[in-house]
Amino acid sequence: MAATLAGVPARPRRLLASRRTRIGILYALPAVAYLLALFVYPIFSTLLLSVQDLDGSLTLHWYADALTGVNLSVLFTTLRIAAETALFSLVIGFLLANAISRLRPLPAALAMLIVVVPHFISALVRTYGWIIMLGDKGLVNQLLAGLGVPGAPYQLLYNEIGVVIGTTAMMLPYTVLLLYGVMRGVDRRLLAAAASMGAGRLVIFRRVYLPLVAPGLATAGLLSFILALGYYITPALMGGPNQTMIASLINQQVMKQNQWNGAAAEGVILLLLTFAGLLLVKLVSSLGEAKKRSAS
Amino acid sequence: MTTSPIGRRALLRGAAALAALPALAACGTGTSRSSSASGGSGAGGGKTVAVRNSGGAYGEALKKAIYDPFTQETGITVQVANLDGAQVLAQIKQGRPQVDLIDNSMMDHAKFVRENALEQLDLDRLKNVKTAQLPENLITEYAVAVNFYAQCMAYRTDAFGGRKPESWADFWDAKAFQGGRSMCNPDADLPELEFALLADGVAMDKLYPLDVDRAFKAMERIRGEVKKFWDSGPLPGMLLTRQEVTMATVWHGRLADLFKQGVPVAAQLNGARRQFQGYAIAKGAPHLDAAYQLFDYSIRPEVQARLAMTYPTNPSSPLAYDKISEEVRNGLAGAPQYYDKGFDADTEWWLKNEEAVTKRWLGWARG
Amino acid sequence: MAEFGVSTPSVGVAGAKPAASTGKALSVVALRKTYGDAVAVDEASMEIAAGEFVTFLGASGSGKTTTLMMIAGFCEPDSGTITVGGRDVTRLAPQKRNLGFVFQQYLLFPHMTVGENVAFPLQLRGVPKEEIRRRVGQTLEMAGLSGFAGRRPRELSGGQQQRVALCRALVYRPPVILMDEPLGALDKKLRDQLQVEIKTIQQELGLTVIYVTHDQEEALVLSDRIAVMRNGRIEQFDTPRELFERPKTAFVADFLGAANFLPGRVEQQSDAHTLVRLDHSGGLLKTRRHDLAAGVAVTVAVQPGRLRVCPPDDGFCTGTVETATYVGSVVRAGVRIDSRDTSRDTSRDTSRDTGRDTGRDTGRDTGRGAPLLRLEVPAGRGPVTGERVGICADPDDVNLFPGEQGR
Repeated sequence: MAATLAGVPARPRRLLASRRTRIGILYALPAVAYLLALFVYPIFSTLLLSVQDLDGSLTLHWYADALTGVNLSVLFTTLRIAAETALFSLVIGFLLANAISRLRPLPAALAMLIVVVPHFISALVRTYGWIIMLGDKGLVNQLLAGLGVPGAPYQLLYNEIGVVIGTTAMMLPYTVLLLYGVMRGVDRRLLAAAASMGAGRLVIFRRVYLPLVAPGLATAGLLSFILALGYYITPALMGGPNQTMIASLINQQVMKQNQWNGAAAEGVILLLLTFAGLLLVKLVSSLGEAKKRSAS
Repeated sequence: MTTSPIGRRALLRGAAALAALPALAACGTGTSRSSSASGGSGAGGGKTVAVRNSGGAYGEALKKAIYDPFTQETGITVQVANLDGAQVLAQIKQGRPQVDLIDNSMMDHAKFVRENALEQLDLDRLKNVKTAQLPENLITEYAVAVNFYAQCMAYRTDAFGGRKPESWADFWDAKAFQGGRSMCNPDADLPELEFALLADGVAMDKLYPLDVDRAFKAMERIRGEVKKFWDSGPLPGMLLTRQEVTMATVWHGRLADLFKQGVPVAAQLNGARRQFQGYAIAKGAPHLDAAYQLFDYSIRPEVQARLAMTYPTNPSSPLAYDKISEEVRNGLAGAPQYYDKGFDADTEWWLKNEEAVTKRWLGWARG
Repeated sequence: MAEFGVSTPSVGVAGAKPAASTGKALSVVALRKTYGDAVAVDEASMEIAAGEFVTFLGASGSGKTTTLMMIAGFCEPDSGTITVGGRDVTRLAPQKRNLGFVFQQYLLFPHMTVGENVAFPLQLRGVPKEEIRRRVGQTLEMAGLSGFAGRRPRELSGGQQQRVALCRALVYRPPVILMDEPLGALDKKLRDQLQVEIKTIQQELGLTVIYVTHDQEEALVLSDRIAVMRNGRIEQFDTPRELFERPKTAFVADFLGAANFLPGRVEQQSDAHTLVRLDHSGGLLKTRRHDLAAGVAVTVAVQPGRLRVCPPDDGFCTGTVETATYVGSVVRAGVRIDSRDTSRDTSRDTSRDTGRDTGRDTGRDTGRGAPLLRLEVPAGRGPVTGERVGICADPDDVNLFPGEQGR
């Protein structure tokens, strides 16, 4: 890495002057224009909207609104549910991906299909499916009651448990696909190598396998956290009012009240939260790296 | 640069997954545009009218019962757009509405009026308003109601040992009528403050203006029994079917399917809340004439009746009910024998108070 | 863990030669492995002494790698036993065998630095931190990798990576280190260099190494003993010299030295020798004594370097020098043997450039006509093309195998 960086300092000026660079910029123009039109402009207009009062004057009261009372607690709920979803989809996704990566191609494809299928089922059918599965008179509770588990039936729907079950199921295809890819990329012979020098299963997992798939775990966790932040259909289906998500508030404001400014403010907050999540993961991973460097 | 080759690969995979998102999302939302009645386009010399409706089974029924016969009669092609209210509003504000006629709830029409997005109606061009004998309160300067839906109580007939809940007070009485409840979430419809007040003893004709404090106090009493605040039309039916609840508020029209499936549920129309659906014309509508024609056509009692025969909706014209078969009529909340048991939601009051009530509802429900 | 505590700074890594420098380091008894109907390893048995460098040599599919994998514990034998330092490890998991393994693909942990890679097996064994640091440093220094401890494996060249892998396998002083074609992925020059390094380190530290390769030259350079494997069987397990000079089968003779093969029949036995009448030339060839009855069909094999040119009357056969190539200290010559049927003598086709033919297939054309013998004789009195010569061989240098062997 040091070797590649060494030659850099003198280059930028020469780079700009070169014909190839100028042509490169020309080629990049459509992409830049595309990004400007589809991302930068909407984001800026949303930002603008969020600090404009109804009469067009500047104000921060939409933010004040969004960060007080019910709205604030909805915000916290959103963060909490997104974090829980990321955690569970990561753990379950890891187990599933690990199992699938050991299967032969055909069963693996089949297993993957089963994981992905919920995505192609309409929300309505899914709702019904979940009621059949998790309701008081649903399969799970009937089974638990049949087995004489104390406390059954459990309330598995219309509370946070239900929401996390639902959002986790929706996230699984992403985490499983992502982790599966990473796991397939891990050279299994490395594990054999570790075993050859005396590492037991647990040590191999902790010291070799986990670090090798860690980048995938971070990506998958972050992805499901960010996706879950913007979720509201599944939380609405599977939860109660206590699981209202911020996206649901935005939807209500725009669709029911035609109130764009407040929605814009909440949208900006959601965006910032997403960035914060990205930053956090970056921070944690570079912190881990730094710790390793100093250790060695 | 901490990424190992594996890390970079993983990120790429992540990016690929992200890129796939819109594709997946597209499977879930159904805002497609479909043109209707293409068969009749030849006769009208290319005249068309574009109408917005909410699509789904209701949209299908509209096409079959109204748009297709209309095209046959006039030669005007009907184009359908299943747009959100917000989309239509944005189009109108930009001065380029893609729809002429808007089929929407009267509440939404009133909201559009506030945004100055609707044409003021020339009632002389809507002859059928008179002949259909529409009640006065259903005709406004900007919109005319053509049908309504009722929000009422439904219950499992096998849950209470043969007893029948007769009123909202019974709904609220979790001791006499045991089992979970389901009520609507503001995502689906207006908060059900009226039902709370009726349960608390307010007379049906003294509901408005609603006593919000009293209503929430009454709501508090039932809060613990409510298992799920439903946010989509079919949900209360599902919950009743699966015996997750014994009683739910419900859009009456949705019960027809349950009856057909033989689910032991019944509706109680005492204290049902009626909300009206009507037509309005978008400001700057490109096909104003055709829009008026389809508008007027839709008000005809026989056309309203035809729609009711196709889809469980209640005509606004009293004359329409004579043209509906007795079997279908008995299944409608608007049938003469039920009509007096319910009340009309006060659009004006809700327009003023919906936002505040919704916000308060959320705070209340989150407890 | 006492063996790790020993520290005698004079020696390269961490002290004394392995405790068990006498006696068996590893023994394999009647090892057998089948995949369906295919027998991968068939009743392989051997004993390896501590400090010995043993190579499994064979073509692909000969069972050499499978045998190594069974010793390592990566695959389980159908039957047989494997003993390491007196301990039966046949059914133990790889991590419980305390062996070292160097893979062809290096298999360094990409998420660890070079230093961490080498430290890893020591950490597993609970060696104190200071001790780890010291031994990792020493080991890397020995491999010429001081200053690389902080690098990532992917920043190193293939040769450097394999050195690291070697360090990682020997830093914890396992009683036996297994190497599976460790130089297979490197180019020739680097391979030669690393062969020397590996041999030096092995001798310096007194390591017991089992090495798998298909490269006979590599095997000869490195090994104390070589197990030549073929079709899942150990054809012969001996020192390079024994294999070379006393091959037990024609296969071994051919595989290692590219011997000349000549068919014949046992003519008579004396106390010390067996006399063979060669089919083609009709000449008599004297070999060490073998207990074979007169008249039995045999094949004799002589390495090119063990044939001598002599006056025509003194040799066991005569022939004409077809090619003579000067290659430094020796001349490589191809001599066409005179046939008993002299009329066929000159009818040999000369289309094949036997000069460039290094002799691998010498004697292979036995059935088709007079064989071509390959000789390597000292350059000084080299034969000349076209010269008629006699060929002699010391009886001790002639190997004899019963039957129509060769190939």
